[in-house]
Amino acid sequence: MEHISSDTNVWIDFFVIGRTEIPFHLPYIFIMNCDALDDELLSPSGLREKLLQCGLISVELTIEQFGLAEELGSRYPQLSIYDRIALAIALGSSGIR
Amino acid sequence: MFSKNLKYYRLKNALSKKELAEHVGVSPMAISNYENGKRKPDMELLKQMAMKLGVRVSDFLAIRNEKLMFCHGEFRKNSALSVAQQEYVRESVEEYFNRFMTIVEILGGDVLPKAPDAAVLKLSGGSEDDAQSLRKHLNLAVDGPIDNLIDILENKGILVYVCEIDTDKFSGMSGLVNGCPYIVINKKMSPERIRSTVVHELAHLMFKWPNNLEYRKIEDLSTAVSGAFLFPKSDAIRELGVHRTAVSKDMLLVAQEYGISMYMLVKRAQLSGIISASVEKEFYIEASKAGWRKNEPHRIQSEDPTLFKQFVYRAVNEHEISMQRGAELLRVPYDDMVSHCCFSRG
Repeated sequence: MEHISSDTNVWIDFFVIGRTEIPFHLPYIFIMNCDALDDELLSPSGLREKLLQCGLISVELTIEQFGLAEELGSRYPQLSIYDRIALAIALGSSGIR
Repeated sequence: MFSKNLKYYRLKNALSKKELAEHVGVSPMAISNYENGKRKPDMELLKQMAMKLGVRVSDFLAIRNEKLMFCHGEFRKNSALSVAQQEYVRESVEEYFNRFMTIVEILGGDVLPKAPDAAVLKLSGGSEDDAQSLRKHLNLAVDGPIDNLIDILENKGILVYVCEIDTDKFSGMSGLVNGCPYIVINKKMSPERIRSTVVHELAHLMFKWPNNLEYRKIEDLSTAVSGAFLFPKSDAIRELGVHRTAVSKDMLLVAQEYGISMYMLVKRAQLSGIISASVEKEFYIEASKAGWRKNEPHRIQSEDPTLFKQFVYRAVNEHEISMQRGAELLRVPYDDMVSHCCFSRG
């Protein structure tokens, strides 16, 4: 099954309307960096528990992904750190830079 | 950006390179190399350093804009701050203005008011006249109380940063970031002292100080300008009267009105010839007994810079950045951002 690394905003939007479980019906495995998932201060209260309950997989960053997320900072200053990390995980896995 | 963030968090934790190195099992030279960008650690080491510094690995990814040019003012030669604390203040200023200038750039870059020219005012030889020329330089009335000083300065393009540092040995510093004047002050000070420090730093920034003037003299002159700026002689005489025989309780109201401490009011009253030197001295003795030398009760509300928040909230509401990015830039919880940006969810 394919993995999907998405930015946190997507999850926040589903969470705010109370439909977090919907994407999990799709035939994908959803992944998120553990820092992004564990940082309760930068997400709405309760999001972490809900995502884990729905089946989101917490993943650790590799040093290559860390380096890529660092590079993306100057290119996309409007992105949050966790969005950059999600993008780095996605780009790193797809081989696209 | 990793290298600058590592240094910032190390200094924030008051750790030397040697101490951090020992904790993570590398040499101090390796830490130096990471901090000056010559080498990169592996993920295991990154995690260990993050844990020791009480941050997440992702915190090392905060944006650092290499185009920002800082010109920091000097600390006093006999500053009670250690070299590491001085370095921390500078790193902290850079970390803050990186976040600040990121939002300025996202909003298009021309959102900052043009600041008055720095280092242009000539010293007249008298602090009253110097304070007046400083007020005029900022397009302020030459006398009268100045409310919301920080707001006024921000709206004139002078940036103010309130630094959290666990010492009362630091009051303030000033400098330039990409040509914009900035003032940094210690959050631990009373609201009155914050105001006098802001003007003291403003004097450092706006006057053209002769190269041969001793640092101590510059400090004294800046302090004198600060007093005359916040409580001009004409106001002192109008509010207190031409002559007073003692320092009395009604003067507290005047101190409150002008947002200054009683210490400053009494000094200004003496310098303006309203009270004698002996009355001034009597006050200092009594105030010292009451513990006011270190902890004079504050009588005004604290002033906080608002420009940064205003820019971030605007960018969030204009969908330039996400709510999460806004929270990250302001270093506040996500729920705080929601309460400040959304009418319905606040």
